[in-house]
Amino acid sequence: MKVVAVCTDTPEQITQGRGKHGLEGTFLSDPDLAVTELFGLRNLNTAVRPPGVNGLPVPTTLMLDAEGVVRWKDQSADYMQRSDPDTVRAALDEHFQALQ
Amino acid sequence: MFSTATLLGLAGLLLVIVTTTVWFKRASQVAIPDNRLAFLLGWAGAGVLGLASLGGPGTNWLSYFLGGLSAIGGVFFLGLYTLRKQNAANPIMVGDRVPMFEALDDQARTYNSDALIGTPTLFKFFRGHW
Repeated sequence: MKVVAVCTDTPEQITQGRGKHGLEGTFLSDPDLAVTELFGLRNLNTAVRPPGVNGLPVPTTLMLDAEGVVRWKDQSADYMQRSDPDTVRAALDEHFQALQ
Repeated sequence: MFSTATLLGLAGLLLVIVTTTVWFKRASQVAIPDNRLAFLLGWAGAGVLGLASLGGPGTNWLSYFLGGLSAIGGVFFLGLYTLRKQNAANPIMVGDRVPMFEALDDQARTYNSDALIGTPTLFKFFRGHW
């Protein structure tokens, strides 16, 4: 299984963040929210946003099958709540067998 | 000795500092409790103490400073909390196919969504490093 993450940071900021947090996987830079917009995940109702960015992504976790179809989705209506690692792990266990 | 207004302002300022410090500490651990009444009461209390200080007996430059900071801090963080709701107009749903896209990865190489085909993928959207 691959892991792909999208965020508003520039490639340089992502590299710094990866070093700090020891993250693995593919990290994509979406500073103008073009990818976020294609997924329909732009949130304009934000109290804080980076300079020059109109809105922010709604933090979202998707599980895609080998055809690129969304099989599972976790999203919160409150930006202070994120996908709990245990929730994602349980979903992986439940859906991944079917996705292999 | 300090005047009543100064003490009220000092109490409010301490309350907003403690409440906000605990909040961000918990946030950094992704451990903000579901029941956030204590935080809301802390910020609201700081706002009330600050206002009480501004109108209280024995106001002076120190009480205005402390009370002002307390009132502004309490109201500011309470306001920030109320703006937490987020929504996307037309989000991708289960059963949808991912749209075609290109983006730069952290090495500034072009990534094409065709690479998603062939292997199951955990795909995440983050707000940013901050």
